[in-house]
Amino acid sequence: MPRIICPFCLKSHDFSRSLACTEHPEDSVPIAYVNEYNQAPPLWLALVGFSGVGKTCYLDALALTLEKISPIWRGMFYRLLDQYTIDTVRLMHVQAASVRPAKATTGPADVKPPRPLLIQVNKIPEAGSRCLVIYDTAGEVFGSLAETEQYMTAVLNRVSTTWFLVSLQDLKKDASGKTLMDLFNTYLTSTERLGIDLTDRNLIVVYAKADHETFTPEIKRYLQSDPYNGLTVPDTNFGDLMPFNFKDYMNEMGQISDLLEAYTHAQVDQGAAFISIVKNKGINLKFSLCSALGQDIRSESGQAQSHFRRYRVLDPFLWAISLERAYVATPIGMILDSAPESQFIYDDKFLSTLKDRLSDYGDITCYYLGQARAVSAPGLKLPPFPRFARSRLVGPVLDHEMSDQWRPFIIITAGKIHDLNDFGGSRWRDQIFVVNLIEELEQDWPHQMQYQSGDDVAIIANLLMDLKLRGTDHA
Amino acid sequence: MPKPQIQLDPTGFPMIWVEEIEAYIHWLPVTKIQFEYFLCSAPDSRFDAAWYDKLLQVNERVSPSEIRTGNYWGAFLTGIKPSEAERFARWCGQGYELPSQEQWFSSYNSTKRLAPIALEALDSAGPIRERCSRLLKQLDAVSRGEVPKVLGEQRTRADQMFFRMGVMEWVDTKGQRSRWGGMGQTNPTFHGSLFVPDHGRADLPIDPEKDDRLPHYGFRLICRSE
Repeated sequence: MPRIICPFCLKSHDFSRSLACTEHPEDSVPIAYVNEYNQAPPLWLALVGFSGVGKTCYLDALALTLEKISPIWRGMFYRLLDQYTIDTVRLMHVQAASVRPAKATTGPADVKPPRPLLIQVNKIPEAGSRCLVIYDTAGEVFGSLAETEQYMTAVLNRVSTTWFLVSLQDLKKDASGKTLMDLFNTYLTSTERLGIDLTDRNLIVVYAKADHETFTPEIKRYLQSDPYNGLTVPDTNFGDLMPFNFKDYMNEMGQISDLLEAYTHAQVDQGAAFISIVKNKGINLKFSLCSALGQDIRSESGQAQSHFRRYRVLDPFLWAISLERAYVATPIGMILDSAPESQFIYDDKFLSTLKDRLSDYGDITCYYLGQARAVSAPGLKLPPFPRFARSRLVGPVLDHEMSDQWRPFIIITAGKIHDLNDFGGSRWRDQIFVVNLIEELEQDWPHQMQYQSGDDVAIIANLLMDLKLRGTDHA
Repeated sequence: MPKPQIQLDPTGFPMIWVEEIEAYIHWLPVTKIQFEYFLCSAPDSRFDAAWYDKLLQVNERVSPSEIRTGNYWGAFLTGIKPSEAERFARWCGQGYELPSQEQWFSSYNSTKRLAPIALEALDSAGPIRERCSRLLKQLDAVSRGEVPKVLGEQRTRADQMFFRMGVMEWVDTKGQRSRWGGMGQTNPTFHGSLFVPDHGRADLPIDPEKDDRLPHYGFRLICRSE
């Protein structure tokens, strides 16, 4: 069974014996998620936006659209993989069936770890099958991460595509003066504090409630001309809907993205600055727009939301599908001392807590100092304290590493490492972090720290990730 | 001059063909870096941390970038006993063994008649790892200066290979008083000795396995298989 990333704790696990998440044992991973992991690999998505922007409305519109689209996307079908997702989507539909608008369901109070929706979409034309793992998070959450820092680290590190839902009208009317730049800055500051590198991630700005906006005529025409806006209206004649051509549709989306970027640059408050900072960070930026309800729900039409037409709801979803690259976890090496003085780290929670923390940033492979071969692979348990003490040598481990990919090593040692200085002038200089367990033990090495029992392990993980960010900046 | 024939040993360090012995011989006495590959690839409680610490006390380790004329012997593995060197040879694989006294002497005589080579020639068998490459360059630079200074002679290929000014090297004496003897010549600063290899006679420590470790004794291997 392949190493499968759990959607709840976002770490690799072996699910061959149990479907329970090792960190949230009350949560069982759906068997379809595990069994069909290769055929429908996860597509990690975060939906971010200020409270009231319409994130839940958008998700409802997307779910409804995916439910109804199989006559257009022949062979396509979709499944809600667990009871939480089924209940959540049903609740969205119930709200959609009423006249009153759904209340915002995510807000500043929602700082506990968001549970993802698991929606498997099979046989999307020319895009295959994916399991959408969607985290719905209020933008304000990023400003109050103290309680959820570890979890959000794992989410933000894993998610390769973020939907930024923005209502320009709401921003204009906002009494506190929030801007698009504020949303991004909050998000960016949090990711930096958590040591997450956003290079090559995808950011899709979705202008929600687009029917309210005064876009250019060309953009407006695009919005209004959505050929599938009637998909979710009861009794729609699907035969009247035009066939779907993925390539043509994506081409048009690309053109609109360029137009929206130009619009943002010229017309949106701090829009130009936003575009510059995003691109400077190496983030792949696209623009989209949608109207989840097709009209102002405050209108007195009395029409049920189930009869609303929904415009360009598929666009953010299709951007996510087409931009997604296979997630490649950063391989991180943890090299452990095997001398008697270091036994205490195997006995207390230090190693397991550190491994757990580092797993938020990548896949951990464990070694002993003085042994070239790995002793534990990603997803497996920590190795035990070894039977005999090996020499404190790191060279044969490093010399086997042929790849040029940035690969950090953290070395935990209770004594001087004999050959560490051999690498001071090499590429390893800024990829190795040494944790000294003995007071006054100083290696001649630029990146190291002293650890004492009881110290916060998170500091070690953050310092290691700082190396990565420094390395990325200098690349 | 014909190009030297080179192969790399299992640790990625170069060996050079010597026609007179019909075998490859290590370019240098076995270094600590090479021996550390062995320690790390085949963990053996006989060669545990305490064992290696003892050897490093006998001859302190020096990193390639820190090699100087006053410490370069720290790159070589010394203090080792013949049976331990044989263990390393077995790990290297079929055909690897300690040279006999005659094989060592023939290799020395053969190479002392030849001029030093450009280090790039050692790359011919395949890319050499960064650490090894740095070590070769630093040691080459040291021998260029030390041989004329200490020995008052022009450097030959044998000197470039540290048959002299290196360490005493274990050789199989094939049934003399003790099975194991030593050939070579150390830098007087490292270990004072009046022994010179040109006589062809081996130094004969009384009981190399039982006695205390000899801090100036290392080894190099030959390899008969290609």
